[in-house]
Amino acid sequence: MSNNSILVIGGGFSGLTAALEAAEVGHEVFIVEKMPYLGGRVAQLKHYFPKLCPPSCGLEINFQRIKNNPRVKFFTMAEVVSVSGGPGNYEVKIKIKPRYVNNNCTACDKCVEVCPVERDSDFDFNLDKTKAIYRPHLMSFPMRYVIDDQVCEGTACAKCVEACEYQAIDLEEKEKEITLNVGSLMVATGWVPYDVKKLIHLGGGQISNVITNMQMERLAAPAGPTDGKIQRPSDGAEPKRIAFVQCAGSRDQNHLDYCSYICCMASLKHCTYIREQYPDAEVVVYYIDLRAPGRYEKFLHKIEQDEKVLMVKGKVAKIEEEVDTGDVIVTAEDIMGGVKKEEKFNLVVLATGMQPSVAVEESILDVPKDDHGFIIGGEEKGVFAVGCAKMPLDVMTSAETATGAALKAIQTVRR
Amino acid sequence: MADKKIGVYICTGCDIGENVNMEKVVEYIEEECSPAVLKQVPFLCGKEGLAQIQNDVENEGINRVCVAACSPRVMWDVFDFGPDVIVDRANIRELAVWSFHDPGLPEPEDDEMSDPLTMMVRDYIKMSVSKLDRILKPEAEPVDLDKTIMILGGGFTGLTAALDAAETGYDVVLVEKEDKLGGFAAKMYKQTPTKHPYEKAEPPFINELISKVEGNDKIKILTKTSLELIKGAPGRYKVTVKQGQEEQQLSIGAVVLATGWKPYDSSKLDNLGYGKIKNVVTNIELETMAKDGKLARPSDGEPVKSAAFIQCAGQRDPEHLPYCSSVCCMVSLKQAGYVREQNDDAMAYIFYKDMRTPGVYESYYRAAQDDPGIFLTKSEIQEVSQGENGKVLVKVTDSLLGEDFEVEVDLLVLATGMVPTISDEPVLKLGYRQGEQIPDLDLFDGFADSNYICFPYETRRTGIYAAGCVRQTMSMSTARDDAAGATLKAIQCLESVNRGVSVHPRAGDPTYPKFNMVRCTQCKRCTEECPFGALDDDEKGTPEPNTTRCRRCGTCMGACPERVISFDDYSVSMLNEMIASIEVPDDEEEGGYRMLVLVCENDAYPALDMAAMRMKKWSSYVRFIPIRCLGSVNTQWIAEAMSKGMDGVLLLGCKYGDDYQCHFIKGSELCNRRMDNIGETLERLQVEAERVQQKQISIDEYDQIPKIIDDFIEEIEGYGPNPYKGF
Amino acid sequence: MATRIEPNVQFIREMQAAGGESLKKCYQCATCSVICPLSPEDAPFPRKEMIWAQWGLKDKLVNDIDIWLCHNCGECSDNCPRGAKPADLLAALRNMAYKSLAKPAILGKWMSSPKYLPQLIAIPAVLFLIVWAISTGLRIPEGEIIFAKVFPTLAAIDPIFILVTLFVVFTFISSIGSMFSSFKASGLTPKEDAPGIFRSLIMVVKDEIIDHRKFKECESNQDRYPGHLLIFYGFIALAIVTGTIALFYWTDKLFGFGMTTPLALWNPVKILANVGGIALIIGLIYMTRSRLNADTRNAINSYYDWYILGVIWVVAVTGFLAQIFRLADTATLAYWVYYVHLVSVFMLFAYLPWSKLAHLVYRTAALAYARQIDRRGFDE
Repeated sequence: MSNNSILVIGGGFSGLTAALEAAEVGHEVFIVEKMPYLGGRVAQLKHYFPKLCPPSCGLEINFQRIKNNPRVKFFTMAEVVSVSGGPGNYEVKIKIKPRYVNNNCTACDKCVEVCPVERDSDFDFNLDKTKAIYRPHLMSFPMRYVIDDQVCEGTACAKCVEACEYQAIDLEEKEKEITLNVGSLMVATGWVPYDVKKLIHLGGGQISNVITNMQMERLAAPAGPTDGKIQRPSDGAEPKRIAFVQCAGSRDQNHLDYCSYICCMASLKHCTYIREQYPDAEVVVYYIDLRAPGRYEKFLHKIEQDEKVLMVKGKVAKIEEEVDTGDVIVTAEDIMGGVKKEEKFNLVVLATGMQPSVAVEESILDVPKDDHGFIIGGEEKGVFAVGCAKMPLDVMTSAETATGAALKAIQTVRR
Repeated sequence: MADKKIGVYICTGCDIGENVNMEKVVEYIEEECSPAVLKQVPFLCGKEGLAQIQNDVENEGINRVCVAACSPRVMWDVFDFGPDVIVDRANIRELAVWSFHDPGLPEPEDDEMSDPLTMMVRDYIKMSVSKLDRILKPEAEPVDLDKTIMILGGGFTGLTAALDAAETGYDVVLVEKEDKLGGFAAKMYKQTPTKHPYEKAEPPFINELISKVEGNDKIKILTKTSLELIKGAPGRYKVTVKQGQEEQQLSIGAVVLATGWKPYDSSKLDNLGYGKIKNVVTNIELETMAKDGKLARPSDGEPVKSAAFIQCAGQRDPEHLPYCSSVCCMVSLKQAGYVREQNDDAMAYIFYKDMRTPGVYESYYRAAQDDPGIFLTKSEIQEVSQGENGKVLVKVTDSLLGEDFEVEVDLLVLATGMVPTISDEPVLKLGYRQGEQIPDLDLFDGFADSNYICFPYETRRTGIYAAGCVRQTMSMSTARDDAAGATLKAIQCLESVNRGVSVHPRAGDPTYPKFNMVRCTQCKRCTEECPFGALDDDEKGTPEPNTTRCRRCGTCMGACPERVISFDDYSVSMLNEMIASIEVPDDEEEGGYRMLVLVCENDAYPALDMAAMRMKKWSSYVRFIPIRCLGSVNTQWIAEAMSKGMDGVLLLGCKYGDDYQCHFIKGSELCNRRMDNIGETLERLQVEAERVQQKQISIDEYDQIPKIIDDFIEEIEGYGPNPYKGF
Repeated sequence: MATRIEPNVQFIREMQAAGGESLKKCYQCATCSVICPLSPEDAPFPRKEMIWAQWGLKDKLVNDIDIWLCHNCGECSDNCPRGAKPADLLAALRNMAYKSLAKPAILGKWMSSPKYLPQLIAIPAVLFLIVWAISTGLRIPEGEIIFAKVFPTLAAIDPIFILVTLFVVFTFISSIGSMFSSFKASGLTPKEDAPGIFRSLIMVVKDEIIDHRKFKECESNQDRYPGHLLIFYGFIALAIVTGTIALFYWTDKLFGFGMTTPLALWNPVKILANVGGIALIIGLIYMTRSRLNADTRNAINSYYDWYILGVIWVVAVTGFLAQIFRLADTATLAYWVYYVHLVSVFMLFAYLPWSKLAHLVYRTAALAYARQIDRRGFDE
C-alpha cells in the first residue's frame, strides 16, 4: 500500500500551487521551504505582466487556502537532506534550521527597535538593510520574525529577548531534523537570478547605476526600499533616461545558453513602472528578439504605442560609467539603423535571466538534469519537477506545470 | 445550536492595553452585549491565554469566542478550540490601535462616550459579538455525484487528458466530432521537439497515444459525435450527444474542454498573395504536402526547390489576429527543414519579425538555423507578387541585410496562426440561463482562458476546465502539461463536490447560499448577476440554485432586494446587526463623524493590515467590516448605515475592468453598477449621493489607504453630518 | 527596383571550409560589432558580414573592405553568445581573398589545402637542387664552409630571389589594383579632401603598424600581441640584414669595400641577424602556443594559419641550424640544412601573395584606402 502523502520541495508560487492543487483533491501535502516565508520569487515582484496586478493578491488567496486546509503542512527554513525508498514509499529527512523566533511572535516589531546589528536585505537585493532580527517582508507568510544567525551576536547581546514581551525569541534554538513518509515528490525549487557579477562587459555589480531587473522590482514595489519610488542607487536621483539591456546573460553560451522566457515581458512591464512614475522619462529597450508569445503580444503592442519608449534591435555589449555624473554609457549597434552608437543613460537595467536553483545549490535529489541544471526527468521515480526547476517559464505556465504535476504525483501515490 | 454562549476575550498585548481605556470597553461590552464570559488577557495568543479560553470552553460551555486582538491574518492557526466552537476575530490591533490617528476631539462630556480609540475598540467588539450571535455552524450540503469526466476534443490535448484522468482512476468519455482521433497532431509529418535536448523535429507520437487511449477500458470513445447539450451542474451533468442521428444521454461529473484550434482564415491574407497566386500556401497546407511525401508547387506539381516562409501572416496584427500564436516560428524552422530534406540544393527563407523560440526552444532555433540552406532575417514584407515560370516574388524591407531586396521562390508559405475553436462557434452548448457559451471570451481574444495569472484554469463556468490551444496558443509539450492540469482541476472539482465544499477561490468552504423562496419575487437579479452563471430558473420561475456551480461569493445575496439568500455564516441580516452595533455619536462635534467601510476580505483587507503594520495612520471615524466580495454588498446595508445616522459609506474593493482583479470576476464591477441605484435612492431622500462611494484598490497599494480614507472623510465633512442623524 | 538576392550556397560551404565553419550560428545580436574596438560607427562590422555570409552574398563579401580592417584579435568570437566565431569568418574571407585576389589562380588553389603542399615544396626543392647540381654536382664542397660555394650569390641566389621579388611585387600591384577597384565597385570612393594613397600608407605605417597599436587594443589579444610583434620585428631585422649584406656584396664587387659572408659573429650585422632570428623564434613560440591553446569554442585554426607558422618555423630553425652546423664545421649537415633553409625562404616569399602573410600587404593597402574614405574605428 503506497503512502498517500506528497512532498513538495519549494514553497514558491509553483510549489504552493502544486501542493494546494493536490491537497484540494484530498491528499496530505507537505511543503518544505528553505526561506523563512512562503511565496518565493514572486513575493519580490511588484506586478505580474501583462495584467499589472500584484503577486501578493494571488499569494494571499493561496495562503488562505493553506490556512483553511488541514491537509497542507509546511516547514519554512527547511531543507531536504536525504531521500530514500521509492515511488509510493519515500522516506525524506528534513533539516529545519533555527529561526530563533517561535510561534509566540505577534509581529509587534519591538525587537527590531532594539536590535543593534544591521545586515543587507537579500529580499531587497541589497538595496536596503534590515536588522539582524527582521520581518522577512511586509506580506510575509507566516507573519513571524526571524534572526539571521550569520550576523546576530547571539546571547552576548540578547537585547531582543529582553524587548520581547511574549517570550518569542530563543537564541539557543537548535537545528532540528524530522522524517516524513510520502509517496511522491514534487520539486519546485525555482530559480535564482543569474549572477550579475559575471557580466563584466555590462558593468554587472560594479557600476552603481546599473541594476538588475529584480532590483527594479524592489525599487518599484510600494513595500520596497524606496517605498516604490524608482530612483538610481548612486544618488537617489530621478532617472530621466533609462535603458533596458535584454538577454543580459541569457541566450549566451558564455553564460546561460537558453532564453530565460520572462525577461522581455518583464522589461516591458518595467517600462510601465517607469512611465507611470515619470511621464517625461525616456526609455530605450535594447533587444535581440522581442519575445512576447501568445497574447502577451498585446502587451508589447501597448508599450510600443508609447512614444517615449524606443525599441532598438541590437544587443548591448559594452557598458561604462561616467565617473563624474554617475551616468552610464551604453554601446550597442542599432542594427536596423546600421550604426554603432554610444548613448548616455541615468539608469540601466540588466534583464538578467533565470538559473535553476539546483544548478547553483547542492541538491541531494537523484534526478537527471540538463547541462544548465534544469531537471529533465524523474517521473518514473515519482519525482516531478515543476515550474522553473524544469525549464524557464512565466508564472502562469509555472502554475500550469504545477497543476499538471500534482495530477502525476496523485497518480503515483494512488497506484 | 440552541444555546449560544459567547465569550469575549480582549488581548491587551501589542500596544492595545496601553492605549485603550479598557475599563470603559469592558463596562460597555458588559452592558451592551452581556457575554457569558468577558476577559482581558495580557497575551491572548500565548499558551496561558489560549488555556483560559480552552478552559472556558470546557468548563463554562462557551461555544462562540470573540477574540479581540490582532488581525485574523496573524496568529491564524492558534485560536482553534475544536469543531463546535465558532471563533470570530475583532481586529482591534491593526484596524484600531496601530492605525489610530487622534482627531483631537474635545474631552467628551457625555459619560456614555469615550475617547475615539476606545469607542472604536468597543464598536469592533460589539460588532463581533453580534456576528457571533447570528452565525450558524456551517454545514455542507451532501451531493450524490457522478465522477465521470467528459473530454471534449480528441486531439493531442484531449487524448492526453483522457489518459491522465483514466490513469488516475476516473471514468472518461471522450467526445470527438471528426471520425478519427488525433486532431492536428495526426496530420503532421514531424512535430517540433517535445523533449530534451529540444534540438530536432521528432516523428509524431500521436498514434502511440491514440492506441493507448483506445486500449484503456476506462475510456469510452465517441467519435463522429457532436455535443448537443450540457445541463445540470458539476457532479450531476446530464449531457446530450449525437452520433449520426442517434442521441445519447450521458451522466457526467466534470468537463475538460480541449477542442483546440483552427487555422486563421487564409482568404483574408490576399495581401500576401493567398488565393491570388497559386504557389502561395499556408503552413498547414505545407504540412499536409510533407505528410503526403512530396513538397510540390500547386501550379504545376514541380518539386519545390526554394521556399520562403512569412512569419506572423495575419498575426501580431490588429487587423487580423492581435496575438502571437507562440509556435509558428518553430513550425517554420521545422518546415524549412522539410524543404531542405527533399533536395540538398533547396533553399528556404524565413522572414520573421522576432524569432520567438522562448525558453528551452532556443536550442531548436540554434540547431535548425545551422543548415547552410536556410536563410533567416528579421524583415517586413513589402510585396508578394507573381514571378515568371510560376515563381513567387517576395519583396522585403527593414531587413538585417541592410537593404531592401527580393527573392524568387517556388513556394511561399504563410505562417498562419491559431484561432480557438470556441471563439465563434457555440462549442460548449450549456443549458444555462446565462447562455450556452463561457461569457466574455472576447477579453481573451476568443480563448477559453483565465484572467488570473495565478490561477490559469479558472473560467466562469465551474466544473469546466479548458486545456490546450482552446485556452492559449501553445506547443505540444506545454499542452501535455496543460492537459494534466485541467484534468486535475476537473478531478478536484469532483472531489470537492463530493465533500460538499466549494472550489476555488473559497476552496473548502462548506457554506452555500440558502434560498428562502417564500419571499422571492422572481425578479431574477440573482440569476442574471451571478458571475458564474450558477443559477437557472426552475419551472416556477424562481431561482434554481445549482450549488455545485456556486463559488460562494455572495453576489446573489447582494443582488437580492428581498433577503431571500443567505449563508450560514454570512447574511444580510447579520451584517445589518453588525452595522447596527456601531455607536454613532449624536453630535459629530463631540464624537466625530462615522463612516462605514465595507472591505473586500481578499485584497483590500490585507492591504489595511499592511498599512497598519507599516504604522500608517488614518481617520478614527471609520469602521471596517470585511465582506466576501463587493458583489455581495446588499443595498440594505447601506440603507441601514445611513438610517442609523452614519455619515457615509465607503466600499473598498478590487479593481475592475478588462484586467479585473476581483477573485469573483464581476463582484466589484457589479457593486459599482449597483451604486447608481443607491445614488438615486439617496438623492430621493435628499442625501448627497457622494456619501456612498466605491474605491478600487490592489492588495499592494496599502500605501494609498490613508489618503483614500482621509480624502473620503474630508469630502463627507464638506457635506456636513448625515441629516438623518439622531432620528 | 529591389535587388534580387540569390544566396550562393556553394560560397557558404567554401567559407565554412576556409575557417568560417560556425557562421550559420549567428543570430544577429551585434555583440561583435560593439565589442570590436576597430569597428566603425557607420555600418559596423562584423555583424553585417555574418548575415551576408549566412545568406551567401558573395558579391558583398568579396568587395568588403572591412575584412581587412579586422586584426583578427578574436574578441568578437570570445564574446559571441552563439559561438558563431565572427573572427574566424573574417579570417576565412581573407584566406579566400588570398586565394582569389592574386594570379595565377593555380597557386591560390595550391596554397589553400595541404594536399598541394608537395607541389609547393617541389618547385624550390628542384630549383635549388639544380643549382647545387650545377655548382658542385650535388657534392659537399671541401674546406671552409661557405654556402656560396654551393649556392653562388651572383649566379643563383640573387637572380632567383630578384625574380621572385619582382614576381611578388608585380602580383601584389595587380591584386591591390583589383582590390581597390572592388572597393570602388561597392561604392567606397575616396573622399575629395582625403590624403593621397602614399600619404595614407605612411600614416598607416606610422600610426598603426610600427607599434601594433590596434592589435594591442583588444583584450583577447593579450597573448598574441607580443608574439606578433616579435615576429614582425624579427622579420624587419632579418630584412635589414639581408639588405645590408646584399648592399655590401655589391659594394665589395664594384668598389672593393664591404663584407662577404660568412660574417664574423661579432659583426653588428651578424648580431642583428641573430637577434632577429631569436625574436622570430620567441615570437613563433608565443604564436604557436596561443594557436594550440585557443578555446575551440571560440576560434578554430585554419590551414592558412598553420602553413605560415610552419614555414616561418622552418625558415627560422634552419637559419639557426645552418649557422650552428657551419660553426661546428659539420659540412654535410650544414649544406643540407642550408638547402632546406633556401627552400623554405622561397616558400615564404614566392608564395607570399597567396599565404596568410599577404595580410601584411593587403591589410596595409586596405587600411590606407580606409583612410582615404575616412572609415575609422568607433573611438578614433
